[in-house]
Amino acid sequence: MSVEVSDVYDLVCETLLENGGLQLGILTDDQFLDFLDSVTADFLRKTAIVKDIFTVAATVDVSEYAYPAGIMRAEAAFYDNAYIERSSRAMADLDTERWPRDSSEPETWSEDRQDAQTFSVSPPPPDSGKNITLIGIENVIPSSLDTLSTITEIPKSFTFYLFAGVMNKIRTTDGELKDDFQANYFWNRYMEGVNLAKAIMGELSAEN
Amino acid sequence: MAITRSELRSRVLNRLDGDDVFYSESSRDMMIDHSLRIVNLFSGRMQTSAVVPGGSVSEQYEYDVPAGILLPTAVHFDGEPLKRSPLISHSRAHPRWMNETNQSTRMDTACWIPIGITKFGLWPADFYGGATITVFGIAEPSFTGADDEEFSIGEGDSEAVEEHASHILTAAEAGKVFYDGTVRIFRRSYQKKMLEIQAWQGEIMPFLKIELKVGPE
Repeated sequence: MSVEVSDVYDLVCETLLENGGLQLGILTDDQFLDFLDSVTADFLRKTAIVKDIFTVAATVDVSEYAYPAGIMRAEAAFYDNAYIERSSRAMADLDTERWPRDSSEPETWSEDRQDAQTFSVSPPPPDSGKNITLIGIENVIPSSLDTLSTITEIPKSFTFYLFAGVMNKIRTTDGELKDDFQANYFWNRYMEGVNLAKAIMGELSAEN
Repeated sequence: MAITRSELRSRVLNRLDGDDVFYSESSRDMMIDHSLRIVNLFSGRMQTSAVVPGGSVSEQYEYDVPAGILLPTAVHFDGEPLKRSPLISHSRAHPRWMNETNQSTRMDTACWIPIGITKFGLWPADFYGGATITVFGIAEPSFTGADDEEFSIGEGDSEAVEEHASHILTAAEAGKVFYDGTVRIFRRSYQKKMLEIQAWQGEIMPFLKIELKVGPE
């Protein structure tokens, strides 16, 4: 079971004493959805609980590639299904000054010295037709989020913590609903959920 | 120990001065359900198993965790337990694992590799296909909402559920009233309980640990 936007919405309405839906106009449905979108993206990035496998076609002599749609951050990379280590361009420079020009089977990948939508492999591939496979955090937020959407892959059990994140945003926004006490409280509860998910992922990533 | 939904509802109501007008039955049910999920997230007490639909597919290394499992903790392949192998260290030890099958390695399928909490890999991949893959783990709770619905949770867990549900219902009062009324009690009592039942390593509530070291406010 996945997070239903309507469940988060109902919790927010209950807490703002607007049972049955946001009607007073102090907070609108669109504002709620913007907050939820932002909180969910943050939760996915911080916890890395939802991952998928992505592929990019390698091109001869090209070291820089755009991240495929749907990936938020890569955690592991493979060239032609063989694992390549994460590194940095600075390290590649130290290893060999000619790496951007000398093509060979890629041995490392990196994200530094480029925009957030780009990664690079080093050295650049010697031929085209092979794949670069990335395992990374998947963006599972629907592109047209509405109150009837489902955020698939995030287990329903984390609904409360997304609600806490949304309430933090509501309570920190200038206006009638601003409330420092609750903003602080809900931030701590949101981070409790983030840390809980990270602890769970830590157990899965730990050696036996 | 099993407790019914109607009993949990009344226990929550007792913590709210019996005010069943401001705290309606549907509101209490909503918070009870979320609180049960949170307690289960911390304790991992609700366990289950599920079979991957269709079984293994020839030469396929990647599988989805079956529905109903919130967190996979073990995988069996045709009844044989597999070793859990973390993604990065497994990839370093077996750089071409994505391509390897029983045939290429002359090994039985030996490891499962968690990919987040929703997917996992098998190594070596099954060359023939058709094997039964059973995933064990913490269950994603589902609720019927019926008055006589029973929850098999311990007394300590039940108290944590009551405390959390009643506490978060009072968040509707907002501001200083909410803070003075429940947050301080909540921090000392509910969060201490959660620290006791939590099955995970790590700093889940660093703020509480700091407060406990400093002492009561």
